[in-house]
Amino acid sequence: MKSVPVLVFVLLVSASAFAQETAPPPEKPQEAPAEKPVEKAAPKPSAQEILKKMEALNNGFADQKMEIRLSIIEGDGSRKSYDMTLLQKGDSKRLVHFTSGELKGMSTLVESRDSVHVYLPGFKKVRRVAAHNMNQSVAGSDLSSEDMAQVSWATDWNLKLDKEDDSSYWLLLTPKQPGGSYTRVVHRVAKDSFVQQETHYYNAAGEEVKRFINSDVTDFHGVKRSKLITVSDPRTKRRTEMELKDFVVNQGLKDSLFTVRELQWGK
Amino acid sequence: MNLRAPGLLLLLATLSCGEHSDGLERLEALYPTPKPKTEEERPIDDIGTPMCNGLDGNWAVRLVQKGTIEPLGQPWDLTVTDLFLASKSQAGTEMQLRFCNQDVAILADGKRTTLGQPETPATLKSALYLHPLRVPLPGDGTFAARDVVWLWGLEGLANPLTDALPTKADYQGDARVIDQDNDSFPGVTVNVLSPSGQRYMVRRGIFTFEPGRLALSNQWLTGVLVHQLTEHALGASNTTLETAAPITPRAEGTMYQLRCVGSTYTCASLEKDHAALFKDAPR
Amino acid sequence: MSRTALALGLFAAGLARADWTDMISLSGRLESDIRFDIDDYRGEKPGDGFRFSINRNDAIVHAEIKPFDNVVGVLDARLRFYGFNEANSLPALADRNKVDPFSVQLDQAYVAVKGVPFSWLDIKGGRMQLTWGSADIFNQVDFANSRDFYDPMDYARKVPNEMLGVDLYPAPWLTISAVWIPVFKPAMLPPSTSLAFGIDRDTNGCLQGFPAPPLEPSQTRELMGLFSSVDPCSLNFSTPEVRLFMPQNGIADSQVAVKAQFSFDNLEFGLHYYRGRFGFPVAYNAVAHANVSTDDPTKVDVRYIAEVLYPRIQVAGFDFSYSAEWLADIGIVGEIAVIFPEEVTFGLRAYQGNTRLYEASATNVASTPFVKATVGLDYTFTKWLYVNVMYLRGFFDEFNDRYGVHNYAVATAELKFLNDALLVRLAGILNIDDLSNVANPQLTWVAAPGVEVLAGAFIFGGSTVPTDPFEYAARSKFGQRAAGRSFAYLKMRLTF
Repeated sequence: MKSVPVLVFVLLVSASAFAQETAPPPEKPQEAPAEKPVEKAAPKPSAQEILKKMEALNNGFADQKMEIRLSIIEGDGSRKSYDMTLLQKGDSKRLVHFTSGELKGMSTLVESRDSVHVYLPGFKKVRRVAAHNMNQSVAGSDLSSEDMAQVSWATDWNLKLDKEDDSSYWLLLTPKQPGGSYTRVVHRVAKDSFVQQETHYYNAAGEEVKRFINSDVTDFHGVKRSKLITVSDPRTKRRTEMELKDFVVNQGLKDSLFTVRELQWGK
Repeated sequence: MNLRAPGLLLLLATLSCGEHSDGLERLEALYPTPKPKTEEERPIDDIGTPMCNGLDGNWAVRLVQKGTIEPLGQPWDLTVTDLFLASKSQAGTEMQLRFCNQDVAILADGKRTTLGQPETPATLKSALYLHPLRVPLPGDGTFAARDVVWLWGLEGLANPLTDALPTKADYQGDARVIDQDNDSFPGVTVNVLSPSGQRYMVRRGIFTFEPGRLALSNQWLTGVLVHQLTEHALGASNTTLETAAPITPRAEGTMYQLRCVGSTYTCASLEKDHAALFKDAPR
Repeated sequence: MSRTALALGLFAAGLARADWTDMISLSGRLESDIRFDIDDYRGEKPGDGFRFSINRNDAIVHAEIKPFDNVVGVLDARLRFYGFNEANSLPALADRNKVDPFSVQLDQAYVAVKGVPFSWLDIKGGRMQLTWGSADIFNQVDFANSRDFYDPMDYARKVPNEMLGVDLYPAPWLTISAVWIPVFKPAMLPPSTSLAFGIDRDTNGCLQGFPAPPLEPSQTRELMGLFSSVDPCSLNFSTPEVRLFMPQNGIADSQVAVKAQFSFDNLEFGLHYYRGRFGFPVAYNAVAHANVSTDDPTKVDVRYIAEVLYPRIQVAGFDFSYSAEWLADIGIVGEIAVIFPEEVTFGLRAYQGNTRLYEASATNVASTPFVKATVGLDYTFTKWLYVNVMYLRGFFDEFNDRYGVHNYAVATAELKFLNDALLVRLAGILNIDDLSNVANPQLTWVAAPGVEVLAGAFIFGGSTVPTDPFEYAARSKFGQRAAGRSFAYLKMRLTF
């Protein structure tokens, strides 16, 4: 008997992981914004404004296409990598294709948190993904589906400005609804650009269980993005690196691409 | 575009396969049950060592007489088959046919019926066997004869060919009527299958044997037979049997057939096997 | 057909005008699979020995050719080397195909066109493998392709078939699919299946028994009584010959499957209809010929010839998948199929020479509708523990014949270790009615991205002997030898 659900990894690679190194963020989807310095004299923004600008940088395009290499680096330095292509429309619909490794051929469609479908090449069928699968690791990395499904923090999290230093705002978020894997999340946002620089996740015991570090801001076809995101569990020696191999925006991706029809067509 | 939900429900409600695959029918197609063998196909008894030379030798004889009767107003086909064992007389002037059995088949509207069908009791067979039908021979080695009379229950007719036969009304005291089968009933007694009973009767057959053809093998002698059969009932166990329907002869299919058999061949074998015995007779 | 021709035309035109490398995406797998029988009593006769049963290598290629955005040609091909020498003579050693036999299998080869001639319509035609239904593997509403059971490890495989299909998307929440399959293809069965008709002999080769046919037990007693007066050692039973009574390839024998799939927030369900044939055979008739042996007049040669058929069916089905937010997001799936079968009467004859000794018949499949169903729950308890349980009413191959539709519990637990590099899967199926079972423990090691090493065992449990020698349904599902032998396996797989 063949394993039934083992391949139901839900890869919901969030664009938020690759924080954009451009400023200021547009209010609406637009063409790739030009780099522009932040005016220092501006009044101190509220926590909500900081978060809004940060998310606009992450998701503020009509569509995005990313080529990503996900590398898992063990404490001894050994490494294994998986390639994937992520297509995103607005700030909710995503289509992810695994293009290497044992998951190659698997595709995941996220229309909302309640509507996730995965195409399983071994079974030649599309399967609806139940919500309980969201805490599964993605290909054994430090990322869970739940982490990567997170798009907009404003909706489900309470927010306050925890602290600030010369270069950064520190936003403290707590879940509006209990039951998730994290009881507290902290974002470090650059004061000058509102780029998401770090994110720290804490469990109920107050331990930091996951950490995202954005680095190596690179110009991709006129849009700056962090080329490297390092994800780690501070309690272990391993880490996961997400390297952005390519990034393009506003390619005119059609809504019809982000449908179950597309997921199963021609497979 | 909307789903035609009521149509779907209707479809589900009317689902029924209604087909049937029958394994026995399939087996019958693969391994057909052999049809019961016809009389002609049945194996026959040993006919002994046939030794015939010209007309000399022992012969099994079949006289096939076709005719029509109309007991109920409609013509029914009738086939009377008389079976004999035959050999030439010691003087060589006649062929003596010793009666073995008579088989009568009646077809009503093409289907076999037992209505009015007679059977020959053993006592009558024995009695007829003792008085062979004598067919005079031309003497030139051929086989042919005209107006050969064969009487049942009668003797001493002044003009056997033409005398009127006694009837129930006038047979009393007629010396020509004899109890040939010694069963205390006048004439001869035949059993009738349906309606079941016995008929006491006299009978005359007049045969013309057209010149026969002797096969090169000398195993067969066949020819055209012309016949005329007259039966009068003198009584019956059942009054409905007292009326004997007149028989109208038909020429088509009426014939005589002789097959050379061994000296040990018996009436019992001929009675049982005649269909198969004569199936290969030259036509 | 004209749309398929159109698609093929577009496809050919695309190939002619564009750089083909831009249009083709390739993927695939290399697999090696070694299996070793670990029981010695489930073979043709006890004591068959422990041996390698599979030693094969597969190269699998999946190609998608897209000459246009809305046209794709899909090709799934498999080159399989079996790994066992088939040469049995000196000249055969000069034949590579005998020494190293192989086959080329084409699982899929079809063309699909999207949005032509209407935006809400997709059409496809060619050789396909479709899977319909919400449940995992045990899909009761899935009839378009017959199952490929040649390999008991790979129950998900289908026998590819040529078909024409349309998918209609009239609304975001509704998909209507229909396929027409002109020619019926039966399910493939494991090599052990013939043991279902196998004769039991003792170590001296003397007859011990033969499987009960689908007759009333009293009829089977009468049948076996024919042989009771004969010394079992004098009966030369040849290997039963089982023939297929296949449908004609007329239009009336083609198959149609239709489904309407509805999708809402956390609920999806589908309505299904199928008209065609059941992919697994049921017993139709049998004939035994017993004749005095020409070689040894003291012996009786017995030849047993049976026919099986694929019953015509109509099916009304329903399936759903539901994510229960109110119950810890547990996933629930279900499928139910109401099958309306044709009536099948089993007929049997026994002959000695040309003389029919025995004839009997009995209803093997009643015309009354019956139900097959699957209900399943799955839940991810932790990052490293996933559990899936299912209840089945009716295994893949079960039909409402005299063997009947049985009840099963299926459970799978998956435990991940070493950051998902090591996966332990414990899977099992229990026949609730006769308690026979199959267990499949497996260890998967992801040695490198795309490289998996799998080791495990496939173990059958249950009695190999029927509880009643005169009762057709008295054989245990997984215990009977026809289910196959238990084995251990080692696989390596590279996905590229």
